[in-house]
Parts: sequence; C-alpha cells; structure tokens
Amino acid sequence: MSGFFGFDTSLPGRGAAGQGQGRNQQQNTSGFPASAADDAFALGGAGEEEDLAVYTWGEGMGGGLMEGGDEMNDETFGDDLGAVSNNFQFSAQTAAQPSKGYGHGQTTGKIASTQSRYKPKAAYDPFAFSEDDFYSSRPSKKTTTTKAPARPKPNTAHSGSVETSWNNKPAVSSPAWGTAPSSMTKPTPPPSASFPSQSQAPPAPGHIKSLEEIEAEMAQMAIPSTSSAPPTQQKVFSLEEIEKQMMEQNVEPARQATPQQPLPPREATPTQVPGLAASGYSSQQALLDSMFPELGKAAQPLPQGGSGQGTPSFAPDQAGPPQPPRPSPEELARMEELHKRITAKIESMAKYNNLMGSSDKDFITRIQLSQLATADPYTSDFYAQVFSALKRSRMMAEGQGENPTVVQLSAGLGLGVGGPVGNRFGKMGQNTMTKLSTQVKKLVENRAQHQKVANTAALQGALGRVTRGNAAAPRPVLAIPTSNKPENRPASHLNEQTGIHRAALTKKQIMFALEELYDAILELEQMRRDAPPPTAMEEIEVWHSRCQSKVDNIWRRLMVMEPLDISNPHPFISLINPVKGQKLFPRLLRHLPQNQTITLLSLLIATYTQLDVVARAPPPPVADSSLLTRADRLDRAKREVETDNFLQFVIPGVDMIINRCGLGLVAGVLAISAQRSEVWRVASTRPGVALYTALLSKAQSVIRAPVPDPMNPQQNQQVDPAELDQWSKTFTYFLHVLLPHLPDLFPSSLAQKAAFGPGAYLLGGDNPLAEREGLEMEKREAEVWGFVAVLAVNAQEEDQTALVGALREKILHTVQAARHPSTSKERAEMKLRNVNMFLNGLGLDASMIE
Amino acid sequence: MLIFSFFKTLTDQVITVELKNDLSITGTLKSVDQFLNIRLDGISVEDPERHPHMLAVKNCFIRGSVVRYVRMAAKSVDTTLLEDATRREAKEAKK
Repeated sequence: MSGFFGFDTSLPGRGAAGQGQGRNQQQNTSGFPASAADDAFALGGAGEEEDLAVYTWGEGMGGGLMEGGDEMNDETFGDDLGAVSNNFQFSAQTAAQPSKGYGHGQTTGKIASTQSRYKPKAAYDPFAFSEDDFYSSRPSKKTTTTKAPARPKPNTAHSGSVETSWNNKPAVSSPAWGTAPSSMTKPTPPPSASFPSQSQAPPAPGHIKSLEEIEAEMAQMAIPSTSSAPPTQQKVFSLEEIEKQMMEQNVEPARQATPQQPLPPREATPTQVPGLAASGYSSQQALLDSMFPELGKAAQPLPQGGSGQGTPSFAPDQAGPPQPPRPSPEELARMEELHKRITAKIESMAKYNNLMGSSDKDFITRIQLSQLATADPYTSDFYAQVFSALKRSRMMAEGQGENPTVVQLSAGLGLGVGGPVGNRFGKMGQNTMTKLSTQVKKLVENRAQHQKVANTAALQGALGRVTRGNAAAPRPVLAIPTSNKPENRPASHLNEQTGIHRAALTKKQIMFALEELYDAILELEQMRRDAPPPTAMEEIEVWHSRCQSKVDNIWRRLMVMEPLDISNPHPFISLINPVKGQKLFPRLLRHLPQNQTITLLSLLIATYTQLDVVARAPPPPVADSSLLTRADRLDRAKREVETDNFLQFVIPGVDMIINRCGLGLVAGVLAISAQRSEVWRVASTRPGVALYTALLSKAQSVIRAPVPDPMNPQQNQQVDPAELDQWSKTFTYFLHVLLPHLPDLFPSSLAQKAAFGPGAYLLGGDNPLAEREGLEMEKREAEVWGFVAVLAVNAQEEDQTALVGALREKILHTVQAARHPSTSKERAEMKLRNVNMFLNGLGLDASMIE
Repeated sequence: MLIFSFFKTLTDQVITVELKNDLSITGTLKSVDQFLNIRLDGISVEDPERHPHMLAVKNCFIRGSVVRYVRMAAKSVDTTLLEDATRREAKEAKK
C-alpha cells in the first residue's frame, strides 16, 4: 500500500486535467524514457476511441471502479502478465517496437499484454483471406459491444480535455507497464494501447498468437518483475503491488470516487487491467473458443465480470459511468475456478504446440483452393481437363462413373479438378467437395473484397504503380503491351498487292497465319464443347450461328478461295507445308462443311505439286550416308519428317474427303491432277502415291457397286453411266501418261538410278545396317506396289497387259531377289508379298513365275 | 496454372525429379500443388552411393522451388494438347 500511496501523493491533481499536467510533465521528464512518448500520445489522442477511455481515467473516480476485481487479474489471465518476446510479433508496427528504445524502464515481461491488446482475437474469421484476416477480419464481439457504450463516457464526468489526459496518463503509466512503446509505434490506434479503452480499439492486423506464444508469455509473467525499476521510482509496479493496490481500492471505494485519489496507481492498474482483459485473456479465449467451443461459452461470463471490475470502460456500460459493479466473493471464486481450468487446458494442450491441427490444415487447404479458383476453370485447367476427357473417352468401355471435373463455386467462378481418373476430389468424396466448395467460395469472395479495399488504400500513387502478383497470376517481369496490335493478316497483305500474281507468303506470315488459325480453332472447339442444352431452342440457334461465323472466319483465313494462280505456292499450300499446318489439317476438316472440304480437296490436288513434300520430296536414300555433308543430312532428315507428318496428318483427311465423293468428283479431281501436273512426277513421291491410291481405290469401290447392303441402302445408288464413262476416259489418259515411268516410281529403282560410284556397289549389300534400311525400303516399295495394284484393278484388259509389260522386269527382279539365298527371310517375304499385291489383282501369283 | 494443370495429369505415375542439388529422386507422384511442390511415394535415389542418407527415405515432399527437372515418360504427355494449352494460356495472359 505504501508504494501506491507514495504514488498518489506525487500526482494529486490528476483528476483535473489542467492541474495534473504540470506534474505529469515532471514525471515524464524524470521517469519517462523518451519524450517521444508524449508526442505519440498526443498523436494518439486524436483517435476517437481512445478518448473514451481517457475520460474515465481522468475522472479519477474511475479508480474505484476500475480497480475493482483487479486482484483477480493474475489468476484470470495467467499468473503472469506477460512477457512476450518479440519473435511472434509479425505485424510491422510491433516489429518496429524494439528498435525504438522505449524499453528502458520496461520489463520485457510486460509487453505481452499490450500486443494482444491491439487485436482482441475473441473471434476469427474462418474464411479470411489472409491469416491476419483470419483472426481480425470479423470484428470481435468485444469491440462491438464495448464501443458503443463507451462513447457516452466522455460526456459524463470528465473535466479535463482528452488530449491532456492522454498526455499525462500514458506518460505515467507506460514506463511502468511497458505498454506504451508498442502503442506509440502503432500508427493507427496508438494511445489506446495503454488505456483501458484499448479493448475497444479496432483490431490491428497481423497479430496472431499461438498457444505456444501465449504460454511463453504466461511463463514469463509468472516471474515477478524484479528487474524493473526500483519501487522508489513509483512508476514501475510489480504485479504484486498492483494487486495490493487493487485490493485496497476494493476495500475503499469511497476514496477513489474523489478526484484527489491516488492517480498513478489507478492509471497504472487500469492500463494493465484492460490490457490483460483485452489481450492476454481474450487471445487465450479466442484460442480456446476456436478449439473448444463449449469451454469458450463457459468462459464467456468471465471477461464480463473481469471487465466490470477491472476496466472502467466496461463499467459504464453496465452500471452507469462511475461505479462498476463489484465482484462478489462467489464470483471471484468462480472466476478463479475457471481460470484454473483454462490454465490446465492450455497446459494440457502444450504438447501439441508445434503441430498443425485439423483446423489449421483446413485453413491452409482453403487458402490454397481459393488461389486455384478462377473465373474460367476450363481454361486455366485446360490441359488436365482435356487430357482427362480424352482418357475417359478411351476408358469409357470400362463404364466408370463420371466425376465432375470442374467444381462450380458460383456463377463464373470455379475450380478445375481435372486429372487422372480417381482425382483427389474423387477420393475425398462428394460431401467434402461440396463443403469445401462453399467454404472456398466464401474465401474467394472475401479475397475479392479485400483486394478491392487494398487497391484503394494508401498504395495508390505512393511509389508509382504498385503491381502485385499471386500464384495464379504472377507479376510479369516484362510488360509488353500486346493489346490492339493490328491483326497480322497475310491475305490482306496479299490483297494489297496489285495484279493477279503475287509473291508467296513469307515464312513469318505463314507462322502468324497458322497461329491465328490455331487460336480460331481452339475457340471454335471450346464453343462446340459449351453447347447449350438441347432443350433451349433459342440458345441453340444463337450458338449455331456463332459457331458458323467462326467457321466462316476460319475458312477465310485458310485462303482456299484465293485464285488458283495467285502465287506459287498457293497461300493455302503455304499453310500446310509446315508440320504445324499439317497437324492443323485434320482438326480443320472436322469443322468444315462438306462442300468446303471438297473445294479444299480440289485446290489441294490442283496445287499438289506445290507442296513441299512433293516439290522437294526426300531424295532416294544413298547407300552410305557418310558421303553426305552435314547440312545435306539435316535437310534430308527434315524432308523425311515433313513427308512422314504429311502422310500421318493430311493424307487420312484427304482419304476421308475422297471417301465422301462420288465417282464423278473423283474423276474430276483426277483429271485436274493429270492436267495440271506431271502425273508421274507426283506419283514418284510418297504423298503422290498415297493420293492416287486413295482416288483409284475409291473409284473402284464405287464402280464395283458392292452387293446391296441392307444396313446402308444409301450407298447402293447405281453409278451414273456418264460418270462411269468420264472416269474410264480420265483413267485411261492417266494410265498412259504414267505407263512409261512406271518402273521409276519404285524407290528401289530410284535409289539405284541415283547411286553412282562406289555407292552403286554398296547398294543391296548385306551388312546389318543395309538390312534395316532394306526393310524400310520394302515398306516403301509396298506403297508403290499397292498403287500399281489399284492401277491394275482399274485398268481395262488391254491396259493390264501393258501394265504387266511395263513392270515385267521389276516383277522378275523382285521375285528373283526374294528367292536369292543372301536375302534375309523377312525381307524375302516382304518382297513376295509386295509383288503378289500386284499380281493377285490380275489373278496371278508370284509362285507361278519360274 | 498450365504447368500445374499438366502435372496434375501425371499423378500416380512414376517420375524422376532432379533437384537443384543434383539429387535425382524417382518415385510415384502423389500430388502437386500450385507452387509445384511435389509429393513422391516409394522413392529411390538415382545415385544411392552418393546419397546414403536417402536410403531409408520412402516418401518425400519436395518444395517446388528446388526442382530443376522433372523427367517423365513421353507417352504420358500429349504434346499437341500441351501446345494448345500453351496457346490458350498465352491468350489469357494477353487479355
């Protein structure tokens, strides 16, 4: 008691703000570490909420009210107040604190309470965008309840101005409690920190106390603050002192009512008490609430009682400004009991300190999921979506249940969960998925709001434009403006030139055109996937017209309708020369209507010679590739690759179109080909062979008029005799052009012709490498043998004879080679099969040859 | 998101993750997140003599930022689709 009284005497004029100032000043200079504290407080005085608190204090009578029940504080809040090391202070403001040098008088142990003071964590928002929000975004109950009632306080009994009281009191109290520094460094709600009203201060962002931290705090608090300034200083109180004082005041309420009451202790106690109430305890409570809802409910009355006794701010709410209710002994006992329970609980949980609970994991999961949610889940998850769609269609036979691949969070917001069959969500189950999706939806909305607020905040214009990125949309290192770039249209470029003949597309133009085509195709494909339900007629119509306009757009970009001789190669041919364009071909065909595909086919055949794969067909293989230069070898390899790709991507499409044609059309395109190109030259390339084979076999299948198929009566139309006539004429012409060159179509003959010097002798050698190449050669030969076979099938009687005559040598040579002992069995079989392909068409067989 | 989307399709397949410290770990990809953190099961290290401490490790979580390469079977990648996805991504970025 003595210490307190000493205090009191030093500050008699406390109640009247005007009087008190002088003394306070003294105190400040003497005991206070830094005058900066004053400034900070003055600043802080501006804050409205703090004012309220000030008033209560200034009245001085607050002492009685405030002090009531304080004796229980340590039990209530842990036996200590605590010291909390700074290492858990994540928010920037608090972090600055240690460096400020306010810490002279303060024992480290006492900081703790202030910190948490900023943020009563009684409630947390499970859908917070950040961890900060998690704890602070949802206004705590305490703040809301106390704030409103607190307002009236200033009016009630306070005589001094808010500012003065601010200046005075914190100065006195802060060193003692070490609370001031943290409050000072705080920009927003500064002075409030040291005052009872603090609990009303809006929660500042960034404080999260873990159980561990709270415990550490408590542990430190338990140690009496012996390190603090000696008692003579009067400004530093140990817990015991304060408690004593509280007791005292409880006993003599009347005394405190008078303004002359010992002020410093009162100030000190209130500061501490609210601090505790708001921080130490409330944070604990928040923690406990989050973990043990039942317990939290049970504990709820406690803060009420505690605040009623200890914090003046609470008192007015309940009992009118000056007199807070006293705790009854039972109440005290109850509180103690509760406190013990809480402490025990916290201790028992201590062993889990470093582990994540399921709620922590949930929190992380939600945060992660919220970052994955995008406005267009299909696009951002495109690869996985389509990949799994393809896979599913492949596995459709197994009849697996369809799992949703997109979790729709709300209109225009979703989460792509595509992946291999049995994706994560599948494992988690439907329930979890729905639950998660609602939670993530809230979270995302919260984030959107947060971002809106943040954008308008202080960042604007402060340091130029602030760009922030996140995992979903990383900040671009290079920001190249790409918008409103004029469309790179090769066709329009062509149209700018006058004259019917123009320069061919440059490589760059081709590539740009192809990219645009790809983009258009992708859009179209996406559009097709987004087909409206078959019931919505209007939508379907709109959708159809949109698709159609896209198709038209693509058709225009293909430049098929450009005049045939506009350039060499024709723009369309330029487009399918690169492998990239070849790959596009089958995808294009899927979307083009029948008549357009036929136009396309005619153009393709008419300009077949302009194709790279025909005009620059890979030369026949040489016996020894070491004779070639490196560039030559690369060039050959590239041409081979192009040819292979053409056969793989374009020819099947061409086949498909041809199969839809009637005999007249086939005859027509064959005539075009025969007119516009040297047929034998085209036929000596693999793409040419493939094309003619397709045309001729289609014609043959039409002419043969297969036995009526009951399943498909459509196909059984009789062949128009005029068309038949036209076909036989065209074919005869075609065959006669081709006949003299027939043996030269075979790659083996070409290779032999091309060989010279030592290479000629090496050809057909039986080293293992040659064997492998030889098998490859036989495969190529087979293509040509297949072609001559369809020629034979289509040919008239006399033409067949001519055909055999032209190929006589080749046949004999091949059969002999097959029978030659040095020929490997495998290769011999292939040779015989090749020859038989042709001979069987004529009703002959290789075995008949002697 | 493209690469994340891509890796999702590799789950439950055996991949080899080469880390920036030259440690190569082969294992079954269990999960990947948007930071391309990787969880591998049933792992084996490419050069066990050099990394004996890895012998006892059966599964691991690899922070995405320490990965240098991920090797996978060619057949598990649909390159055409990947090209398309890249185009879409590029287009999204332009918007």
